[in-house]
Amino acid sequence: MTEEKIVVEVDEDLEDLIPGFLQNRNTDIGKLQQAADAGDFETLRSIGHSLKGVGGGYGFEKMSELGASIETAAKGEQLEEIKSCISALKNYLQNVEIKFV
Amino acid sequence: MGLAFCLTLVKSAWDTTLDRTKTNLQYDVLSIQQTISRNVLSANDVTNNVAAFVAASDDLTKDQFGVFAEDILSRYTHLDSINYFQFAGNEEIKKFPLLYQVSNDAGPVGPGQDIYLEFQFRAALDTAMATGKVVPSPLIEQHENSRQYWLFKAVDVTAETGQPGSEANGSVKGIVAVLVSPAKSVGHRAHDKALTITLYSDTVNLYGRTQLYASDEEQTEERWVIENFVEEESVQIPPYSIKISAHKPIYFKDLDFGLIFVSILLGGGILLLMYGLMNARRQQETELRERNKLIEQKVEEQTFELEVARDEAVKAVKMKSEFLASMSHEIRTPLNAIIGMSDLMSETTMNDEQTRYVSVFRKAGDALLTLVNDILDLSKIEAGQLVLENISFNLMEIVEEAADIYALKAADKHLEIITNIDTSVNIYRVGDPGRLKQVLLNLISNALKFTEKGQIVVSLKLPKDASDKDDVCMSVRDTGIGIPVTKLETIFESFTQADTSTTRRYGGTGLGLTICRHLVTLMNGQIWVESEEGKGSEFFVKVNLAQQDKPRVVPPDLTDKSILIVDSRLDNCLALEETLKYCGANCVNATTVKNCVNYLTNQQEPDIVIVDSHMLLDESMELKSAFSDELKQKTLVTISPSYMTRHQSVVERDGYRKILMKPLKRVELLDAIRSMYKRTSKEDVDKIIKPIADDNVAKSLHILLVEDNPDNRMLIRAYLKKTDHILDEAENGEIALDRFMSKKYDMVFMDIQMPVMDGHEATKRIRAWEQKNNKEKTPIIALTAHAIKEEIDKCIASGCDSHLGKPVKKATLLEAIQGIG
Repeated sequence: MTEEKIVVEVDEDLEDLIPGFLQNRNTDIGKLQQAADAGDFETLRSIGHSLKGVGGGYGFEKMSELGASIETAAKGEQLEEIKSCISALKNYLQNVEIKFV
Repeated sequence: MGLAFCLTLVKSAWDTTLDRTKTNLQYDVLSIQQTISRNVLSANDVTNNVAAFVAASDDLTKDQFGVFAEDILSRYTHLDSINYFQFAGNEEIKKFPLLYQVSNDAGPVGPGQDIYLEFQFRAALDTAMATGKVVPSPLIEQHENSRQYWLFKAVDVTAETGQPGSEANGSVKGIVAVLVSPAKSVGHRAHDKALTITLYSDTVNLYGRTQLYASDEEQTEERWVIENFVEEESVQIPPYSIKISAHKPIYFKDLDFGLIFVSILLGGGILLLMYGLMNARRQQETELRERNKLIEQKVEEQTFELEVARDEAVKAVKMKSEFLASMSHEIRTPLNAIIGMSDLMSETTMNDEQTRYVSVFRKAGDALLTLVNDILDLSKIEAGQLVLENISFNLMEIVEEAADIYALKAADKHLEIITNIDTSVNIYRVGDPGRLKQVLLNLISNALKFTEKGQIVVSLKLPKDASDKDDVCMSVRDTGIGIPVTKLETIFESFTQADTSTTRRYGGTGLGLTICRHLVTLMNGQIWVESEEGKGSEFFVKVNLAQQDKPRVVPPDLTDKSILIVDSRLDNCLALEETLKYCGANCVNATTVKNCVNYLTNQQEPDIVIVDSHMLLDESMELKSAFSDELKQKTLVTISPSYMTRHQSVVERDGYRKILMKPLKRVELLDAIRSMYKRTSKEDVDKIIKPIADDNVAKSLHILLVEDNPDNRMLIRAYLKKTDHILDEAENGEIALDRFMSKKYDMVFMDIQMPVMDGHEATKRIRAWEQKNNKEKTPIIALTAHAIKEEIDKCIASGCDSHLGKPVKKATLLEAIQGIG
């Protein structure tokens, strides 16, 4: 699964933004892992919500789905669920291949 | 008929009476005839007897003759006299002087008178002497009314030998003559009976028929002779015969009227009876007519009473509606608090069980709110409090969004909602988009409720019988249970479904269609339904919405491009065709896998393929292998929500480039096709995109973007990079308000969920500020995370003009800006 490339189509107008966007997301993952370790559900919820809001707009539907899952799980304080979502997100960002259209 | 019967009765009575009169007459005549013939015979006998007596007595004295004759005359009253003339001549000269006479009165002959000298009698005397038989003489008319005739008989010498007539001539001793009175023979009875009796005498070889007697002819006067009665009989005494003829006219007065009277009475009675019957019937009719008149009068009275009652009822309904409207409002306020609190509560930390409980009462609250809203709407309408908006909007968006909202619910039942927008309809209209959408949502929800399999087609088209250029027609067609003809009208009434049992089976408030009808009526439109039981229903809404002169989006130029549409639902193919043909494409439909494979193997490869995932991933996997890697780049896969989770990843993995969620929206479809061209040939893209972009940037706008998420702000900035619009950003509502008051903006994109000050509050403050400073209203477009009715309504209530669902797509964003410009 980790070997498979995930192709994501992104509007070519966004080409300049994508490197910064992806950098921001990697930062988010770091924050998420820290918060998860600390049991800071409020931070987890907030970042999850933010991921949910931005992913779709750029074409990363999967990112939005995972963000929504993290947000919901954070509300229910389901740490295991959150951790699996974070690793899924990490995996997704590593394997994503962007095609500008 | 009564008259005919009466006449027949009288006629038969008449005949019977006449017959009886005749029979009576016959009896009378018979007895009279017998009397006469007896008298005639007796006269003959007397003549014979006297002749025999004279012949037997050789020395007959006058006394002897007198005693004998008187005795006879006393017994036979019709004989007038008996005479004996003794032969006194010789061979040459015959003399018969009267010898004895016995007579009742003075006879026609005197004493000693020779009868033979009377020439009138000679022929008879000669015959008597020649034959030795009794011979009658012609009539002697002594005086009027007294006719008589003689009966002669010769007395022979050899009479005693008992051979009379053998030597008649020359041996005649004398002649016996008896004078007979025919009138007396007939007697008085005939006269009493008013009979006309005529006697004729016929003597052989002597003289012809002689009338002996004729009783007085009755004076016929002016009596009514009905019939003449004639009866004849003759007495034969050779050589002569007497014929008796009785004649009597039957007069009217002679008839026995008893029977006729009875028959006339009977006939009259029957006539009267029938007249009575007819009269009774006529009277009955008159009575009936009068009764009808009475009933009519009563009905009129009742109608009037009903009218009064109806007016009162209408008033009562209005009062009820006013009460409900205020009540509903009172209910809504605490209900909103309950729902709002449940929202806040779900934000707090809860365990699974608590989360589940909260979600249940949140859902129940939503359901209750829907019902209260329905009731509120209806009572507002009935109370005449509902005022329609009149703003410009995109009609296609309304239809597509309405279909979108129920797409997931439809997917749960494996139904598909298909939108079919007629390209000839100008989608920019003025009206009340919210209420129109409400009508559509109601109709779609209804269609979903009553449909188990098939599809629901939501159409927007020009009405067939458009009376005005601004008329548009929307319809929702399902393949559900249908509605019986008799219920087609009543289903629009409150709390009514086609069958009361369906309420239990399908649920629902029963207010939806009533609200629809009221709303459409308020818009001066029409709503109706056509249905066939078991096959489905189609609800139509025809409304008049003023058109707006906004430039339409230039569609991608697909002239001479061939497009293969693969979908098992023909309605989907037709809807796609409608849009694509408008762009100039040649479309081919394939509703089965076989058709599609056939086309792909036998025809030139199409420029674009639009295929439904359900067909592509058919069990046979036949179609999957028919798509080459090259063809996959030209393929657009549509996925219905029911297959989203199963098919999306498979299709993506298989290398298909473009995926669209159903129900398809025109803008998204055209975008997808544009982007496919962009990929295949850069030149084409410029051709297609440029003219639209040029249109979009015809005017440079100052736009304020209010959005807390920096990534999303960057996104929108990137989308507007190629346009001439000038974009300012604000991180939250407070900053936005500062910016807005310091600079003039042409439009605002307002995110709703933001820290510090959210979109609702910011919009309200902007509107208040505008009003205070007498500024024109700046278009504010809300950016909402969920395109649900409540959220949109809330935005509109805060003062936003329209909304865009997140994530925002480039095309929708540009179109929204174009709509303002």
